[in-house]
Amino acid sequence: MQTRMSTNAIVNTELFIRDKKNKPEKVNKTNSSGLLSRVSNDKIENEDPLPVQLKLMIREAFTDAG
Amino acid sequence: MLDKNAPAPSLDAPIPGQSLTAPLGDRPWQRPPRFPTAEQALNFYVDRLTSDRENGELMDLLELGVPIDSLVDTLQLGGVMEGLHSVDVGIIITPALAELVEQMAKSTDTEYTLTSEEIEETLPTKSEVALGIKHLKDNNMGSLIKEEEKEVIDEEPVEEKQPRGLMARRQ
Repeated sequence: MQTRMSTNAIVNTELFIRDKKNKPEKVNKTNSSGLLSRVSNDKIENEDPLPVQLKLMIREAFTDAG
Repeated sequence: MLDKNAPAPSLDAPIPGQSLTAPLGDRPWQRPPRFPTAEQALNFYVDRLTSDRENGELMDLLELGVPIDSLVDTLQLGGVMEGLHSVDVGIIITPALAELVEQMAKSTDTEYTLTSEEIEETLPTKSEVALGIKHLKDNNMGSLIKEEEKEVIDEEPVEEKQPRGLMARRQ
């Protein structure tokens, strides 16, 4: 059970990163109803989940070193 | 009626409720974790895994064919048991740990498998094994195998049982 969860976490994170690479970048709405909603849109669309952030951080550290 | 074919009960398993017999907070995982955030826990593992000794052992395990996901899972589960971090922090850092081990393997040209499912795909399924045995039997190879087994059994020296004990007859 535990192994299954870890495997899923590893595979899903990798799939998320690949999907994000393939998709075109989202442009935030300019005609939003207000400043507050636009700010929250920016945050939601641009922020990766924590496991993805950590994984990319490790990947970048190795690519920078290599 | 007693079913003789029923599997024997395992007597090594813990008694239901055994985990509740220890006082609360006695076990490491019942206390607040040493590294409460994912970043702190990851830092700890990165420092530990990149040390020379651990690095060598890790690459040896990968070469032996242990998949990265099992390795990382064992690692983080051990951390939970030692009270280093919580279960959810362990799951959050698992992908990053897998990436770390993968990158280390790449940099040292070590062969690795990422998930245990990859291995399972390469192994023959039960139906494939059964089909192979059937083909062998159809081609009369089964009888050859049995004859070889018989020869091996015949060649084994049979030792006569010597009577032992105080009352045994002496030859």
